[in-house]
Amino acid sequence: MGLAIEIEDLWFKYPLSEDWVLKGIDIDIREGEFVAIMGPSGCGKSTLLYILAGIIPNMIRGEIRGSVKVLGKEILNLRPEEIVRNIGFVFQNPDSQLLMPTVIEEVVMGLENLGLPREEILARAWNVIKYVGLDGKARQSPRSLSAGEKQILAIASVLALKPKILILDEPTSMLDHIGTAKVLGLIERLKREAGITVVVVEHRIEWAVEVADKIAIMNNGRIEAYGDPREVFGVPNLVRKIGIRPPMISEVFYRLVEDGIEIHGIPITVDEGVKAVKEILGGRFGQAYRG
Amino acid sequence: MSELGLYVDRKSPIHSLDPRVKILWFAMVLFSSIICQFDGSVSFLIFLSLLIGMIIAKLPLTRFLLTFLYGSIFFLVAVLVWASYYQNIGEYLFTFPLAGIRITDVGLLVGTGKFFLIINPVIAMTILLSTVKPYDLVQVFSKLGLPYKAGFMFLLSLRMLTLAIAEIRNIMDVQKARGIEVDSKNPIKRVSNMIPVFIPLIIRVMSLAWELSITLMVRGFGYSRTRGYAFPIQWSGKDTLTSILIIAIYTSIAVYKLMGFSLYSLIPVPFKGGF
Amino acid sequence: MVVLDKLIEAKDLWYRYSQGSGWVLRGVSLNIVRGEFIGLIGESGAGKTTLAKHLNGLLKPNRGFVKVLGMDTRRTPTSKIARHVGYVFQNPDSQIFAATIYDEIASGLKKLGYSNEEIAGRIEYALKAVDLKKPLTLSPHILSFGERHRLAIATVLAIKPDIIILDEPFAGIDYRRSLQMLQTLRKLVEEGHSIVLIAHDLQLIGEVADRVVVMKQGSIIRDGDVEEILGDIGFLEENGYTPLQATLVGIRTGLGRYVRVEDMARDLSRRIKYGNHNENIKLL
Repeated sequence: MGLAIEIEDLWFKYPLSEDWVLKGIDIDIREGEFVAIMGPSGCGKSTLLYILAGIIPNMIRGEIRGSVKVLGKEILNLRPEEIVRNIGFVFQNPDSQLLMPTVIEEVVMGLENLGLPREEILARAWNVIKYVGLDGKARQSPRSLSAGEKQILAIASVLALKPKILILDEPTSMLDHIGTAKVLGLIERLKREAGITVVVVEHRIEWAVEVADKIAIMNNGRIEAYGDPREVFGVPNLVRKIGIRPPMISEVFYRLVEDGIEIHGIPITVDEGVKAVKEILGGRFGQAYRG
Repeated sequence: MSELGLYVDRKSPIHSLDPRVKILWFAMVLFSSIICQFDGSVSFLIFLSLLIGMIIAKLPLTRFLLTFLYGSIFFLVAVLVWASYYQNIGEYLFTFPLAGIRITDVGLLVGTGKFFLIINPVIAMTILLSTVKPYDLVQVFSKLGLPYKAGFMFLLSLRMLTLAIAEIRNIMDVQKARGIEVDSKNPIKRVSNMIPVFIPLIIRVMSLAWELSITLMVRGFGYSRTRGYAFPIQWSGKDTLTSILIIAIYTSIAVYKLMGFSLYSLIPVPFKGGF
Repeated sequence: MVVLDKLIEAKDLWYRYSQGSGWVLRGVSLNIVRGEFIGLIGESGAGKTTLAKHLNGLLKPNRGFVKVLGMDTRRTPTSKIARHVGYVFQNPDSQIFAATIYDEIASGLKKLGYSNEEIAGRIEYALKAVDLKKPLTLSPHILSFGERHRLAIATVLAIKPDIIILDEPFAGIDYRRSLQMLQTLRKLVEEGHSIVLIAHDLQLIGEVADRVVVMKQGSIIRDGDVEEILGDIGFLEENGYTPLQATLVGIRTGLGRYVRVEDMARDLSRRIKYGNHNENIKLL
C-alpha cells in the first residue's frame, strides 16, 4: 500500500494576513486509510482540506511553503483537471453542491466536464447512482430529495469521477440524524468496498472512532496528535487542553481518572466501555440494576 | 413554479423540437414583428401564431393570463402614446375620452403595431425558455461555437436566484423575530428596514457564489476545452420541416406587409369609427 | 393579579404553507411554563422549526392558537412578541447587518427603549456569556463564523427574553464553548426564563435539558422527562436515533440508565471506591 497523501512541513498563510494558518503540518496517509481530523474552530482543518482538494492555490492564493504529495505527485505542480480526477471534495451545504435540475444531470455533469465519450459517461453515471441507491429517483429534481439524500447525491457526483481520495469537510453538520446515518453509512461502504482513501473533518466522533484507522487532532495550525483512535483518546489531558469532543464513554472515564481511579486504557466504543466497566468493578461486579 | 427559471416540463410537439428550431422561431418572430411594426393588423397574425404555439406546447395559459392582464394596460398605454403622434394623419375615427387624444386609423395601426413589436418577441422568448431545458440551451451554445461557459452562466444564475429568494424569505423571518418590522405598512419604516435585509442578503449571496464555484471546480468545470454531453440534442427531419414552415410563414407575413398590404380592410365596420 | 407562570400555551395547531400543500403541523399542543429547558428533537421535516416559528408569531396557525404570556399571536404584532420570545436562527449571516458589534446588539435594545447605560450593561453581560472578547467597535463581518454565531446568540441574550428558542445553534462553535453557553442558559432557566433548544445532538440535550419533546411528521409523539426519553433505548432506535454511549453501557452492565457524563462517572466512581453494594442507586 503506497502513500496516498504525504505532507511535509506545510506552512500556509492567506493573502493580506500576517499570521500563518498552517504551521508545519507533517502527516502521511496510506492508500485505503480512513482518517478523521478533529480540532477546535480556526485550527486550520478546512484550510488543510482546501489545499488537498486543490482549492488552494487554484481558487485562493496565499503563501505556501513545504511539500504536499498526492499519490506520489507534488500537488502544487498538478493542473486542476488532474487533481479533480484523483481527489473528490464534499462540503457541508448540500444545496450549494447541486447545480442541475435532475439527479442524473447532476451526476453526469462532472463526467461531461472531462470531455469523456457519451457511452462512458452514461455507464459510469448509472453505476454510481445505483451504488448509492438513488436509481429510483434519477429523473427527479434534487428538490424532492431529503437533505441526507442531497448530500449523498453530492458525493455520488464526485464519485463518478472515480477519485482515489475522498475529502469531506463536515459532511453531516447540516443533516438530521437520519441523513447523517445515511451519509456515514455510504462513506463507510466506500472505504470498505472500494478501498478509497477517506479524509473527513467531523465533530460527531462516536461513529468515526468505529471506522477510522487514524485520528488527527489539530490545534492552532499544527497536528498535535495522530494515530490510532485508542491512542489519541487515551490521553485525557490532550483532549481537555484542546477542547475537542471525545466519545461520551471516554469522557466518563476521564472523569474517573480525575477522581484518582486507575484506568488501564480509555474505552472509545460502547463495547469497549462495557468491557472496561466490568473489568473495573472486578469481582464485585454482578449486581443487576433494579431501578 | 418550476425549479429553474421558466422551464415547464411537458410532452408536446414543441418541447420535442430541437432548441435551435425554437431559436430560429424567435429570430423570425423578431424579424417579422420589426417589419410589421407600423401595422398592427398584420402583426396580429404573428401574435396569433404564438398563441397557437403556446397551446400546442401545452403551456399553462393561466400563468400567462396574469401577464396578459398587465399586458392589456401596457397595450392601452402603447396604443395611446403612439396614436398621439398620428393625430392628424389618416382618417379620423374617434377621440379617446380621458386624454383627449384623437385616434385615427393610422394611429391605431401604428400603436398596435408597436405594441406587438414588443409583445411578440417576449412571448416567443417565453416559449423558448419554457420549452427548452437549460441543459439543452448550454449545448446550443457549444454547437454554435460559443463558449459553453456562457450558457452555463445562465443556468447558474437561475440556480443562484432560486437560492437567493429562499434566503430573502429566511432573512426577513430572522429580522422580524428581532422586532425589526421588515413588512411594516409605513413606507418610510419599510425603506429604512431594508438594510437589515439587504446586507445579510449580499453576504449570503456571496457565500453561495463562493460555494457554487468550489463545486464547479471540484467537478472539473472549465478545464477541458471540449465538453461531452450525455444527452446530446439531435436534429431530426421533423426539425428541418418545422424550420422550413417557420421561415415560410413569417417571411410571407413580412413580404405581405412590405408589398403594402394590410388587413385593416378586413376589420368589421363597427370597430372603426362611429364611436 | 394573576402571575403568568404559563409562558406559552399552544393548542391544537394545524398549519400548512399553502392551500395545496400538506399539513406541516397536525394538531400540535404544547405548554411551556417558567424555568423549563426543553430539547425539541425530530427528523428534518417533522415540523420543529415550523412549530418554533409559531411560538414567536412568525407563523400563524391555520387552526388552533398560540398565546405568549396571554397574548394571542394572531392578534399581536410580531415585534411586540419579540421582546418576550427570542429566536436564534441557524445562520448568523442571515441576521448580522450592523457596522459594529455594539450596534448589532444595541439595535434591538434601543427599539425596546433601554437607556444607553442599560444597553452597555446588557451588552457586557451578553458578550461575557458567549465568551466573545472582541472590541465593541469591531465590524462583525471580520469575525470568524463561530464568533459571528456567538454574536448572534449574544444579541438575543442581551434582551433577556422570557423564552429563548435556539434553532440548531452550534454550527461552527466548539463543543466546549457550546456546553459553556448552554450552561449560561441554564442559569437563565434558574432565574425563571425558559429555553427551547432544537438540536440533533442528543448528548448536548441530555446534558442541559429537563424535558424533551419529540416530533414526527407534524405531531408530537412524545413529551416528557429527559432521562425517561433519552434513556428509552427502544424508542430511540425505533425512530432512527443512536442512543448515547453512556446509556448503552449503563444498561448493558446493569449499572443504571444514564444520560449525563457526570451522573455515570459519579456513580461508577462511588461503586469503585466504596464497593458495589446492591443499593438502589436511583439516578434522579
